[in-house]
Amino acid sequence: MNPADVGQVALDAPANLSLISLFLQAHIVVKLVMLGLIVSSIWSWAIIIDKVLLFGRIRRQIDRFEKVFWSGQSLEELYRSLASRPATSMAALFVAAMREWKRSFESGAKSPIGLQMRIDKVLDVTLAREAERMESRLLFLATVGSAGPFIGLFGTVWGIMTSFQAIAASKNTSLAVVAPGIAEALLATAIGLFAAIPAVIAYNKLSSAAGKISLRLEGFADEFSAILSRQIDERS
Amino acid sequence: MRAGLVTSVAAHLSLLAWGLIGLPSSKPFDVTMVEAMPVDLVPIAEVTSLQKGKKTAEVKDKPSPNKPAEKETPKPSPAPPKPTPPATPPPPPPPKAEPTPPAPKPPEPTPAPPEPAPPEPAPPEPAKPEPAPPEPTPEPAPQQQAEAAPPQPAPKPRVKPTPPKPVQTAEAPKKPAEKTSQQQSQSTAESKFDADRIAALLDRQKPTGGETASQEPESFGAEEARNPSARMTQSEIDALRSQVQRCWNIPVGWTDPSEVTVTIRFSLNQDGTVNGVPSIQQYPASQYGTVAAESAVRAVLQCGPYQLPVEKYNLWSEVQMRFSPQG
Repeated sequence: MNPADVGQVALDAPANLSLISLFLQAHIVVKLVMLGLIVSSIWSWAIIIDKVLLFGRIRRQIDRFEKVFWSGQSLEELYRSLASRPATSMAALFVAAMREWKRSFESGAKSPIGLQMRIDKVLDVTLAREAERMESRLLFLATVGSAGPFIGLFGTVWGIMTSFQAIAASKNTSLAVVAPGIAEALLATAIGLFAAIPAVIAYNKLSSAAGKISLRLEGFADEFSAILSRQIDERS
Repeated sequence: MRAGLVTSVAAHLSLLAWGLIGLPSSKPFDVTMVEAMPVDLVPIAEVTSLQKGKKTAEVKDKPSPNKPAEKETPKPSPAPPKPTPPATPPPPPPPKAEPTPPAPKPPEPTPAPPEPAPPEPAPPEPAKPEPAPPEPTPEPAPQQQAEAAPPQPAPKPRVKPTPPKPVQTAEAPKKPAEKTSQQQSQSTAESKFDADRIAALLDRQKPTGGETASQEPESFGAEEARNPSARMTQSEIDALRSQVQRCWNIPVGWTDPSEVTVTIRFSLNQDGTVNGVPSIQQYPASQYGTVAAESAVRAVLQCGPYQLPVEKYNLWSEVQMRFSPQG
């Protein structure tokens, strides 16, 4: 689209400023920017919804597990009931540590220090896996939040650039000629902000929630490691 | 993840749909008409005749003149129908009157019919004897037949001899209004008439107002603008000049007007006092030039405040005056 064409479009349809017509009138670069921003907005909202649901689920599981764990039920029974199906979060920690514990006793390992070290390692690995599961894709939100406005601004600058070229080509500076091009360019920034603002807010909220959950998991891991270490000492 | 993605896409689509349906294309701003001051370069002579402005009026080269409205009476269109009523009423009276007063008349007419030309007594009355006044048969002029009714009134013929009458009647169709007025004057002129006749001939038209609005289109301009036809009259300009002149002492000894002619410009306050210091626009290049200019400035400063019509302040708020020994 050369500048003269843009000018013609601007002259022909100065009154039609609905969102769709603004989008259709835009330069191809601006169109791509807008489309990319819309897609990233859709994706970031998908992540937000997914994470909110996931964190709620994890919190409920943790609460339920803690209640059962501290209810005085024997660890063996608990392990037997949990090991059958794939566990998550705190239950995963428990199952991983218990499995290592049982395996060591079954193989007849002698060194209590070695057993303690292995259990800690297993707990660490499971913790890291859980944290990774929680924080995966949160970085996308951070990226959209920080880069979205810039991408939108790029579209705006490009759109204003082409519309100024169109103005220069049409040799007419009346507002009716200038306005549509600028409105269509500003739409890009609007979409950028539309994508970025929820992403930033959700990123902050979700990352703090993830931090809190991992803290709880770490606390449990330490506590459980202490319990197991006491058991080892008693047995040896 | 899939649940989140589906929800997100659905939410975006519904948002977009709302944006398309719920958000109509932007409304145009309400633009209030701001009065733009029309600036025209017109010769000063035309300014005087400018009428009250109207924004919707067409822009014309010639501003509409401030015409005094015509009197209602000569109004051409309504008049014609009215004259006829007075004319028609007369006929009725004659028949009634005939028995008593018209007695003298009948004799007169009888001789008349043969000679239309003869003097006052005879000519007009021919019809009278016959009760049917509309019949103008006796009257010679063929055109008269066409407008038979008006001529019938008895009084008219008496005043004027028949000869002129045909001419009048011929004209009549063109200027009916004129004719009625003539009729009136004729009728009033004659004192002989009996009261009945006069009453019949009285102009029943209601008195009309003196002036009507000018028919000319308004001139282009602001409606509430100050009446532009207000301008300084020559006498007011002269008044200002004479007030200044009182104080102006022509520098002694310089009789050559070109040596003393000075143009200064000064602004006045609404109370007639001089605002600020007069500025010298032009002064002779001779060695006495500055002296002459300063004397003029002194004169202007000394003689204030000036007596000038306040309502025209915007016309004399800024004055440029030329001082010259000849005035």
